[in-house]
This record gives sequence, structure tokens and C-alpha cells, in this order.
Amino acid sequence: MAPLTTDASTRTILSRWRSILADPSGLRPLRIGIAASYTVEPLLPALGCFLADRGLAATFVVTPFNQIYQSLVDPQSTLREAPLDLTLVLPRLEELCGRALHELSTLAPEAISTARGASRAEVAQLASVVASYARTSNGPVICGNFAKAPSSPLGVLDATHEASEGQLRRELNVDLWRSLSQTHVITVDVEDAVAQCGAANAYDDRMWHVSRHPYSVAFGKQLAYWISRTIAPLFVAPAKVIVLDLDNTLWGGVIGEDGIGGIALGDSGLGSAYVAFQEALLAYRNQGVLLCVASKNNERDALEVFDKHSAMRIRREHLAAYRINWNRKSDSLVELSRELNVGVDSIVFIDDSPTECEEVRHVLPQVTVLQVPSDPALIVAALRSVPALDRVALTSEDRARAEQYRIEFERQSVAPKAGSTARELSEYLRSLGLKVTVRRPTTDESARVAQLTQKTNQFNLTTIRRTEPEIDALMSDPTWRVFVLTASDRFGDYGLVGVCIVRAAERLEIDSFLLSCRILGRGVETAFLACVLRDLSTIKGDTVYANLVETPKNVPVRQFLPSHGFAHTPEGKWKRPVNPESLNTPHIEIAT
Amino acid sequence: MSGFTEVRSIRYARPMSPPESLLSKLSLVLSEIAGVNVTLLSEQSSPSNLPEWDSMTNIHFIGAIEEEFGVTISTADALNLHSLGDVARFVEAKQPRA
Repeated sequence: MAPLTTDASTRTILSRWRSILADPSGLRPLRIGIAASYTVEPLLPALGCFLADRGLAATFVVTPFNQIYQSLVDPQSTLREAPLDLTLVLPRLEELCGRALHELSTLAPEAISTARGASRAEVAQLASVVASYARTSNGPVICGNFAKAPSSPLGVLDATHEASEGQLRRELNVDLWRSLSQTHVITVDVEDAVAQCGAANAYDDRMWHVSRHPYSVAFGKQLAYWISRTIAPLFVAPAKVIVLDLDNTLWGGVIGEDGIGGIALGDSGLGSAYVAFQEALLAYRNQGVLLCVASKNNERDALEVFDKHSAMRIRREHLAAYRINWNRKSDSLVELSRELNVGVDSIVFIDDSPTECEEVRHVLPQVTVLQVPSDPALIVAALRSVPALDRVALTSEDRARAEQYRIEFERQSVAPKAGSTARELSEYLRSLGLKVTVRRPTTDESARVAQLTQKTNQFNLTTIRRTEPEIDALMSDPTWRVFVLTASDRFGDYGLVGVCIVRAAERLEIDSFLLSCRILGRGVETAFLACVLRDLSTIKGDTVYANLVETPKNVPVRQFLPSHGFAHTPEGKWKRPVNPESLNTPHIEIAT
Repeated sequence: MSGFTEVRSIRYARPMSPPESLLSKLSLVLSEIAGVNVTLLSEQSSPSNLPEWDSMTNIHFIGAIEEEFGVTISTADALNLHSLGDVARFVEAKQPRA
């Protein structure tokens, strides 16, 4: 079924919602608690439909209207009865600060300052109640901010007078945002939703007087859609990669025919629309979305635009990978997903050609396809309306991801080609200026250590998976030693990319030894082992044992033990002297 | 308050039968909104004899009537539409003549 749009009729929404409720199979159940200052029920069928389009089957637990504090604070509240996946708090200033707003309109000077103070105290209390609820609730908490009213008691005077309701509302939104940004509570921008629709269209006073629901039918659908876009990224992994066509997508015209001087890309007119699109794409890259190219072109012609056209905003170093050839786009997408190690379901494919879009939709239905509008001025808006690209929280890893690919691109640009001599390879390794540090992990690194034991498949001796609490336990147990390796080279940081866990009980035994694939092929494993052995040589025992557990994926680690002086033992394990002196890695600087 | 007066006069002074086609289209809309079989609906169907026609259904039904028939329902009108027949007569009176 085609996704619902915000201009769907009430009939369509209600029928569809009824059929979702009757058969939610294939959708992930999502129990949403709602505390609102107004009657929120009219929004729910549309919200349910929009969430179903994102693979979520919502059920709603709604507390009585205008009892936000009671609902969030009371341990007997229905919000506490059954475990919720999410709580939605939707306050309006009209209810939350109704009395203060009334005071404001008296225009008495002392009443104005009292009303402003009371409103700010009220919003501070709201933020504090929501934040403390969020600390004990199951699942994330989303809170709405305050939207512009359709009109003000002061009319045009509101813009100037110190009793301005509009100005107070703006200040309170800043207060709320400041308070909530210190917590894990996520804000849904109701103010922006009303602004996009226009306050004159967003409200329906008839609804208010009849049912204490403030919004128009048309806006209700838009607000539900906006809320669904804030909820979905919390439960559905956002897209990780944007794959772009080039001709008439990233620039106007066809590079193979028009040439680098003939394509539309520049400071004015059509060219300016493509520049704006490129800048919008780079903003997604800053959020951790990787940019790739899949284009049917001569690779050299196409890359020349990235390298030489003065108006290009996206440069070759911004691309995590590209396929510029004459293959089918679906084949290129599958190759890119393998190269970047992401599922095709986390790709957004953007192309101007209806034929290419249809080919990808047909062969790879999991891919999100955006066919760019024929008017390039509309491309930015189309890009930003793709819900799969929404994110509501960023980790430091998200922000660093695109940069790591850029660094890797620079490394690759100096890497020797296949078939290079051993001498060329060793010169390359020397030129990297590798530095490693081997040490015990700090307590806040146990999550990353656990993640590496979970995710590393290739260079992993035993593939023993461990959780964060298990790592914490080993770190505080004197019979175990946990080592981590961090690395950098002249291009940048690799971060924490190696883990070694040694059991030092009746004898010394390497329980786990693994390196992230990011750092493989640079001889770092030898330096890592040498550092670990140097540490172990300070304690009892002169022999260290190791174990190799073969898996279908750990081929790269199988020669590690024999090539580093380990010999077979009768019990099927491996052993070598602890003495680390024989292990040399002249191209790696070891920091202590 | 003109809408209010008009509905009163229709309901009490001239209780004519609404056109069959309009009534059946409204029945279809209400059946989709309320989730009831359309064959169970008649001119006499009302919130008092149809449990599915609750206050939330009423809100969605009024929104749907405005969308489907291009009419505007005032607050007073909304409070005076007591049965499917009322709604049909109201829409009939409000709809622009072809």
C-alpha cells in the first residue's frame, strides 16, 4: 500500500487505521502513552497510520486531558500500568499558563511582570517533571513545545507591547529547549509544525468549544505526520547512505555531452539550485550519512567534475565510495552496500530518471528511492522530506563517521597498488607514521571493548563475545588482564581498534585477541602482541598460551600464531616464550 | 446563528425525506468512520441507537462531511445534527445547487 500523505481524506485515514488495528501482523508493536493538555484523540488515527507506514503498530494509552502533571507524577497513573515503549507529552501554553496569560492581558504593569515570572516558573516545573518521569520511565520520552496562537488579545500591539504573548511564548520555548536539552527528553517541534501550516489554518475554534481539541482537521494530519517523523527514528534505524546519480541530479545537463564547462552548476539560475542541493546533502553527511555515487558515465569525465569544477560543493573526498560505470544501478547499489558493509535497506537512492528509479524499486524494494523533481529548485525540499533520513539524536560516532571515510580515502590515495613489491609496501607502511598505544581500558571504555568483541569477525582469535557488564567484571578481577590498543597515523585517528584479554591464573593464557578491520594490514598486530607480552613479563610465568577457534570468517587471523613464534602444544593449543624481544615493528612508534 | 435557526426549521417545521442518493453516500462515509456495516445504517441512525457513533466518531464524521461535501458546519449546526437523516437534510440544504 502506498504511504499515506497528509492530504489523505478523513475517510481514508479512518478506514486504514481500522484495518491496521484489525491486522497489525508484520508491524512492530509500539505502546505509546500520551499526556496532553487537550483532547488528543482526534490525532490518533492519522498518527497510527503514519507510524504503520514506518513499520510500527501503535497502541495508545491516553491519560485524561489537561492532567499532565498528575499523569507523569502519580505512581498509579495509567502510564505506569503497563510497560510503554514511548511516552508523548503534549502541553499547550493556553492550558499550562492560562491564568498567567489572562493576567498579561490586563496590561497592569505589576501583573505583567508577575505573569511573566509565573509562566517561566511553570515551564521550568514542566521540564523538571518531564525529566524526572523520563529517568524512571520505560522507553524514550518526547515533549512538544509551544506553538503560536492564531491571534493575540493585543492584536497588532502584541508586536511592541511588553505584555506581548508572542514574545513570552518565544522565551518560554527557549527555556523549555534549554532545560530539555540537558536531559534525554526529545523535543517535537509543534511550534514549527504550526508555522509550516500557518496558524490561521492550524486551529479550529469550533473543535475547541465542542471537544477541547484545538486543531483543524487538516492540521491534525500534519501534526500527526510530524510527530510520527520524530517517533520513528527512535525505533527504526535511519538510512546510513545516500547514493546519488550525477547527470541532472547533482548538476544540470549531461557531463558526457555538455562537458565540464557546459553543465549547469554555479552561482545563479539552475546551477544555483544544484549547488543548494549539494549543500543540503553535505548537511546530512555532517549527521553521519555517507554520500556515494552510482552513475552511468565514463569514470574519468565524472570524477573530473568533482576534482576541477569550481562550483562543486561535494568533492571527491566527501564520497565514501562510488560506482561510475555502465552497469545496472541495482548492481551498483548492491556492490556499494557490500563495500560499506551496510544493508541495502539503509540506502536512499536519488536519481532523476524514472526508468532507473523503477529498476531499483523493482529489483531492490528495500531501498528508499527518491526521484528528483524535474524542477531543480524543488530538490532540496524533496530531499528533506525523506523520513528515512530523519535522526532525533546524534552520537559522537555518527558525527565522526563521514570524517573517518574521508581519512580512509586519503590513506587509500597513497596506498600501493596490487602487485607492488615488498619494498614498496614497507615504504608505504613507513610513510603512514603509525603510532600505537597499548594500555588498560578506562571504565568508560568498557562499552567500546564489548562492542568490539561483539562485532569483530575477521581478525579475532577466539570470537568470544562479551557484554559490557562482563567486560567490567574482567577489568576488576585480578586474575584477568584486559588490554586495548589505540592507533593513529599522519592522516588521523583510528580510535580504539584492538582488544586483548589474558587470563593470568595458574598459567598465562590469551583468551581473546582481536583487531578491528579498520587497522588490518599494517603490522599493528605484532606491535600489539609485543606490548602485551612486555606487560606480562613483569608477572610470573615465562610461557604464554593461546587458542585459535576457527570460524568461517576469521581466515585473516589463522596464520597469526605460527608467524609470531607460537608452537603447537599436545593439547591442541599454542604456546611461546613470554620474552617479547623477538617481535620487531620498526615502522610503528609505540607510545607508552 | 442563522445555521442554528435553519436546522431547527428543517427538523421541526419541514421534516422532508432527504434524497436517497445523498443518504446512501452519507451512510457509506459514516460506516467507514464508525466501522459499522453500511446495511445497519438508516435515516434514523443516531448516537443514541448506534453505540459506535460516539463523541470521537462524531468529530471525525463532521470533519469527513466537510471534506466530502464541501460544506461548512457551524458549531451550532454540529450540536444539532442528531441523526443521519438530520445530517442528510442539512447537507442537502447547504450544498451548492448544480
